[in-house]
Amino acid sequence: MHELLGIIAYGLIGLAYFIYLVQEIPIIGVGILNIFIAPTNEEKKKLQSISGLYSDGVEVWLIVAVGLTFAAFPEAFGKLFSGIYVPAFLLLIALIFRGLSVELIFKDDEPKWIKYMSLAWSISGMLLMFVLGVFFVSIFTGFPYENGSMGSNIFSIFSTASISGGLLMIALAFIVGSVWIKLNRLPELSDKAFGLIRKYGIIYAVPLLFALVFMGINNNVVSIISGQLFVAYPFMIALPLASLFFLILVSLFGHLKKALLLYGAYVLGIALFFLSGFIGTYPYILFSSIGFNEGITIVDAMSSETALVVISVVVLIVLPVVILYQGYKYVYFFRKDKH
Amino acid sequence: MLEILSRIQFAFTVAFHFLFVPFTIGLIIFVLIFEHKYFKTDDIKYKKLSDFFGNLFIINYAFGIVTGIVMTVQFGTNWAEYSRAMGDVFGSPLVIEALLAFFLEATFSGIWAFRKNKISKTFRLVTVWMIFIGVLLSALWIISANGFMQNPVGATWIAEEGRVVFSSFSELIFNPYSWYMFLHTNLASILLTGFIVLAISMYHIQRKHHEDTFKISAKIAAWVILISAISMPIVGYTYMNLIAAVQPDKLNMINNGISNAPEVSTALPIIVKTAFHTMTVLGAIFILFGLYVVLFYNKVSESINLKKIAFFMIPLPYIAIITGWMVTEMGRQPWIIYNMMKVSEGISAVPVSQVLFSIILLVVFYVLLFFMDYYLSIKAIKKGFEGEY
Repeated sequence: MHELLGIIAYGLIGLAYFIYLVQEIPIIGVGILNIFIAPTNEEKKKLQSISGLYSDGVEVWLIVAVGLTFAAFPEAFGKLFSGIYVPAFLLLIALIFRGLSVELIFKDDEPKWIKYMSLAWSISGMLLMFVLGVFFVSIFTGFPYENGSMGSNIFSIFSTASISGGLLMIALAFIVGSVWIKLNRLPELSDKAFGLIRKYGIIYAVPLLFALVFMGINNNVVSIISGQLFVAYPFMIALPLASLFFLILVSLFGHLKKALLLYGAYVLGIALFFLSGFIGTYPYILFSSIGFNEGITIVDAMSSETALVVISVVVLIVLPVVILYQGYKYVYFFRKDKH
Repeated sequence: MLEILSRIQFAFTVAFHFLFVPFTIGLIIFVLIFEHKYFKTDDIKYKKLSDFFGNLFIINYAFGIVTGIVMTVQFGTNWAEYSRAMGDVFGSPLVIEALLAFFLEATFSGIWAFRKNKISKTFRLVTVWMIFIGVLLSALWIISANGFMQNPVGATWIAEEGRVVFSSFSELIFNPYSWYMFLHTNLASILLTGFIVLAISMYHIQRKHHEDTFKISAKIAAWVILISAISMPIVGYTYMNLIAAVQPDKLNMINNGISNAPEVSTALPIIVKTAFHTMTVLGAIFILFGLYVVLFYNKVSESINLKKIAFFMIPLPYIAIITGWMVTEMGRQPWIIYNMMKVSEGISAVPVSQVLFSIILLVVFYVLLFFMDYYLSIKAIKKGFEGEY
């Protein structure tokens, strides 16, 4: 029972990270794009409105994922974040400026304020995407964790795979941000955005970067496809391949300017990426890139059975309610903004 | 060195975060009052007040949220051993809190910030209610964790594993220490905001900018100050009885300025004692001030000097809040969890250079944030209803 609850918590962390990222990429993308496609205040306000409306609510998903790690696997939480100390603070600085800039750009009408805030909105978005990409890919490639501590070089989590992951997130933000603008019925701005991502080839970079990430994840003895579940069920290799397939479709639909299809392919691609990653690293909550046995397993790190029961019960009751009202918010304002 | 740096960083980040927290807790209550009045009477004055103070809420709430996320992650980066020990007690309430409170306030504050002029009156009211519930509840988690650190009930210390394990979830949640802190902190927040709202309203009355409207908020603020100031010692007195029972050493510091706990310097209890008395003296001043403003409201709203006093009073509730926290946290030393785990045992084993890096990074950016918030808030306050009406 105790172990099962631990596994459920592990799955919930994956789910929370996925829900966070899949919503964050488009609204961050809108912010990144603002300095490229929206020179006037009126245009910036339109972008702010379709991004800011959701940004705080989305960010809580990250807190839930981090909080679940803390609650269910306290040891892994401490080892992980103290091990990636410097990148963790870069992530925080990016989160601070992203959160503030989107809310505060038009709280003052000084042109200088607006200029610097929109710059901060864009740059913090890129930094956030990059650090998140590095972070997620590192979860799947494993951290340099050995003998109970992280090889604490501040650059140790930056590898070809994780840097490609960071760039992949930035590229996706540009693309899905453009889609988000289009889905929110701002045709002139979305035309500019699509023009930009096609002109500079950003749409074509996605499958390439993903391939780099995936090769990086698996260029080692310790790799997710040699993980327990992939070895036991070899057909699961279809999951990362399908993920690659959908990200190729992202490029294709970007080329064809099919916004809705692109968005669908993006959601599936990211979902399968997370699924592959979390299946691959199982049963490790902190996957070590040095050796399978070095990592911290779910069972090693999990908190008491009572704690896990409390968490699971609350999550299973409240999570659907949250998804319902956040989902309804999207539907409501999509309809309302139409008029 | 590592311990001192970790302490400095925590003290700095939590103090900075707490500049915004009490103000937003109090502000959302004012906005709720105005929004209710607007809903019932359809009087545009209340809508103006709600929008004006709601705007101030959004600015400060934005700073509160981002500096709060730093606190959450910081438990992992700098207090890994503490987090490992406290997973059961600290982690699960955090998840519950995020699900119940953070989602509510964040989802609806987005609507308030970006769509409040495009939704119906009823939807506006619902939105403010949801933010209010979220904001109020979001103090609960951190306070229940802190309450446990002061009075560890509901979980037992497993010495060989060096961590606490749940014995009773309900005992943890209904820890009387936490509820006293919750009440005390929220009342202090409301009191503080009462002072700020009063000063802002007086400023506009003086400028003759929508005088009639700001007289409404000034009057409400005066009553809020009086009621919360009177409630403070009532709550505080029973709170002290509990402290006497569960933390006799803290009481010893407060009353006598001495401590029998190990590893506590002689200066610390004296600081605790001084802080406590500063807080109580300020509490008495707040009651007298509240009484005076309520009783002689007309006099105050017509005299330039009395209006100025309202403005110069603003730092005092902040000082009271800071000294209150000093008593709570310094009085707990050397324990991070009372009688179970010491602060020195809670820190992460990270290189000193990295902690130095993060402190410098945080100081540089937080100074910037402080000026940003100050600039925006003052500008919004001075602007009054201009622009929107």
